[in-house]
Amino acid sequence: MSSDANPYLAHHFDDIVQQHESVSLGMWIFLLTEIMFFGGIFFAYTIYRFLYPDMFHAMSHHLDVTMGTINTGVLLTSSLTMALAVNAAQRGMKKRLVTMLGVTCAAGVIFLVIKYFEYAHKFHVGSVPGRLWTFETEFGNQAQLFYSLYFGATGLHGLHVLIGVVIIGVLTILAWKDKLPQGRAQRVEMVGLYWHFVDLVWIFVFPLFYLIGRT
Amino acid sequence: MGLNEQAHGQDHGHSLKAYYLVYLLLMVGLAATVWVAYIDLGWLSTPIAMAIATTKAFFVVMIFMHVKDATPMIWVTIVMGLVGLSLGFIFLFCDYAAR
Amino acid sequence: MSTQAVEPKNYLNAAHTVRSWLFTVDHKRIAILYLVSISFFFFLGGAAAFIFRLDLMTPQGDLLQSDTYNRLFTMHGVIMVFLFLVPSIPATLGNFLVPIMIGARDLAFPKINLMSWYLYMAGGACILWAIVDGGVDTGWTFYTPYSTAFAKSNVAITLVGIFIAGFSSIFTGFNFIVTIHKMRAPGMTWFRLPLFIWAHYATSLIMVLATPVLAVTVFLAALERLFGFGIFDASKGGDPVLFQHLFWFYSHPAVYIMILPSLGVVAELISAFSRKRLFGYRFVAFSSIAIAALGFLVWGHHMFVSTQSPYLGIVFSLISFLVAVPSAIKVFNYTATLYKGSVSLDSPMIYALGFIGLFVIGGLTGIFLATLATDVHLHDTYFVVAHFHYIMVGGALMGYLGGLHFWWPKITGRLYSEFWAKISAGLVFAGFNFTFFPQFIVGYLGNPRRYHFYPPEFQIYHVMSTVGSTILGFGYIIPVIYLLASLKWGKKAPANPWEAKGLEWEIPSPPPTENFTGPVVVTEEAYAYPVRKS
Repeated sequence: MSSDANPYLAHHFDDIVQQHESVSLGMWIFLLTEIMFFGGIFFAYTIYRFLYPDMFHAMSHHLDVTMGTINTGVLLTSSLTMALAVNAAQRGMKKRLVTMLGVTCAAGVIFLVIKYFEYAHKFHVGSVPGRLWTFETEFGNQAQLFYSLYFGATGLHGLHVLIGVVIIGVLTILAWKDKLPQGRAQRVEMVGLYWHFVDLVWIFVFPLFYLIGRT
Repeated sequence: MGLNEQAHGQDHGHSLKAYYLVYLLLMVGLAATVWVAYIDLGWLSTPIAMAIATTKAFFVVMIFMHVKDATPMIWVTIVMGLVGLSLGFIFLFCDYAAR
Repeated sequence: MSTQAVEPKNYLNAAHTVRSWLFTVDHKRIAILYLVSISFFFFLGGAAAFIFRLDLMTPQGDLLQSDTYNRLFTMHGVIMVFLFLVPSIPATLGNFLVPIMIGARDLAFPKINLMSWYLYMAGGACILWAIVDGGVDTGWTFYTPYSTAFAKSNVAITLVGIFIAGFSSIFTGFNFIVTIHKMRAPGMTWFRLPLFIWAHYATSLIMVLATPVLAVTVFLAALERLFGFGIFDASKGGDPVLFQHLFWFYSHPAVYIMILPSLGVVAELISAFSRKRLFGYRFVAFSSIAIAALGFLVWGHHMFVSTQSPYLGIVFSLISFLVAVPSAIKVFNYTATLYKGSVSLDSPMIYALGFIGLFVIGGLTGIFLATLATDVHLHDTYFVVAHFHYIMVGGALMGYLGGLHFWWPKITGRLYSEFWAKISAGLVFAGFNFTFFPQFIVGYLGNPRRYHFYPPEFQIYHVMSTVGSTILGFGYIIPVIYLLASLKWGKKAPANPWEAKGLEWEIPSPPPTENFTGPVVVTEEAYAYPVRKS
């Protein structure tokens, strides 16, 4: 109902500030639900690690630290490029926006490819819990608990990365076709928040699964 | 991280310098996480790993996610998430520790 | 705003195609979509209950096989909890009224609102599929290890359905929070908000904080069921009780998702039909938030007889008692509002008064169950069944029906038959008590819930219960008839048929597509009824 006819203003908001604040609050509340969503898995992790510390330490040794570290680096880098993309979008720098979104998307893909090799290895040695389990350790069946949590946590996280890759891919195309002008920068910003959140989850998953009992 | 006082207009976000600095810090943090894991710190190793992770997370949230300049409502939302998480951890841990 | 032209434009006659309904982003139309779908599931769940209630007429359950019986009570529970009670008031009345009551043109995210309905339908479709394909026999709680390792029924697809439907409730919740924060009209301060809005705000907080934990829990349970993951599997070192923890982390707060909106509706009704400002407005407002907050600290009272630490049990028990405080604040304030009000007993008010009585009984029996020692005796008996039906049906459903009757003229622009409405309100109240009061007794005497057979000496209580549920069934079917009839033959409703206060009564019935034709500025408190000298 404000006098300026902003083409990016949705019909039910009074002005663009109200729209921006609503969208960003909405995104943060969505991230809040995501915190609780991953929280469930971390609850289970805490309890079982408390109950079976030795098994956790021993099983962690079977995860590939090199691949985990590279993947962490890839994700952290993609977070930087995403932040730069948001900045470029806000300044209306199209070329830079396309590059940064493209790099972020590519980093997500690299992450998933490395994850694929990690998973493939687990299928190969039989450390996938359930029917495919053939992994022999001194902890017997109990070891499946660790891998259930591992696949639960990294699987859910991987799913989030996949969704992020798709969304950022779409954004890249939109930006390339001039469909993401400065007035729509908030879209990039909101996707950025999501992407940083995915990064945050990994920042905790990495040391908790890959790096325990290494000494 | 007071590096973004200039250029923080309505639309320009943080200065790029802050982003690069945070990135550097994250990479150093990553190296530290891996390095610390291979040092025998006894029971301290997990708390230290978590402290490093939390520090990394803190900078991502504050600078990359612009929470440093966010409205109070967004701070409240984040705090609610942390409170919700801690409820789960506290009660569950109390249960399993007291059985 | 009361220009009654020949055919004033409103949200219903704005467009007539099927497409205009299925792709609508108007919160009012989405509320109607929800209303139709949750009514369908309500009657489906009710039918299941009626069939197994018939079966329970005889101690040896002559009507059904035990396996069918298990599937029916599970179907009843799953449908009623996840597809009816959780979305009931928020998704229908809330969707319709939250923007109007705060003076906004729509919810903050209209498309996400529509998406939430589609998610609900997708979740409902999964659950329906599971039922058609043979059903589930785990009970609505899906306790492991039975659900993950032993049950020979469609557990996985039901869990997927609940997972999806959970997201519809998350999206409703976060839409409401943002809307209430950011979309209030000028002058609509927090303490001018109707208590309906406060209740929905508290509900939405629970929806966004608790539902994701349920989502991840059923996700893990489904992984275990489908692929043999071992998070809750004792043979792999997992703890089945952890499932209960995570499940109740959501499902206890979920009880407040069901009852808080109803408490909000009743606040509106009591005030409107006493023609008085609600007594203790701020206390009632904050008690909603207090209930939501305390709701997160009490889930362990469902697990007193599990392996949960008894020390933690004591803590959970004490905190559970605390919930009685904000609940009582509400009831006392509602009752105090009646004092020296000019009370009129229209049908919505009958529901509201019924609500107060039944909610008190349901709440007080909750105290018995929150007490560690008595719970050992009462756990998993019909006493528990009766207790939560007093809250869920006597509370949440009475509030829903009361609210539906109160706002029906606003939603549809038609008046229903007040005579039949009063009769059905009476039938619901009588039938409800007849159904569930005997269950308190039979539960106290030791009849476990979910058992197909029971000792012959309990038969009288079960027969009473079944007879009551038949009366209750009529109480639910009659409104369908006269409400639908009102659409065709009902008198046109004026903008404010109850002469109630509130922004929704200042706009035409049914409201125009963007709710308000001009800018809205709020200048008075909620419930600004004229003060009478005593």
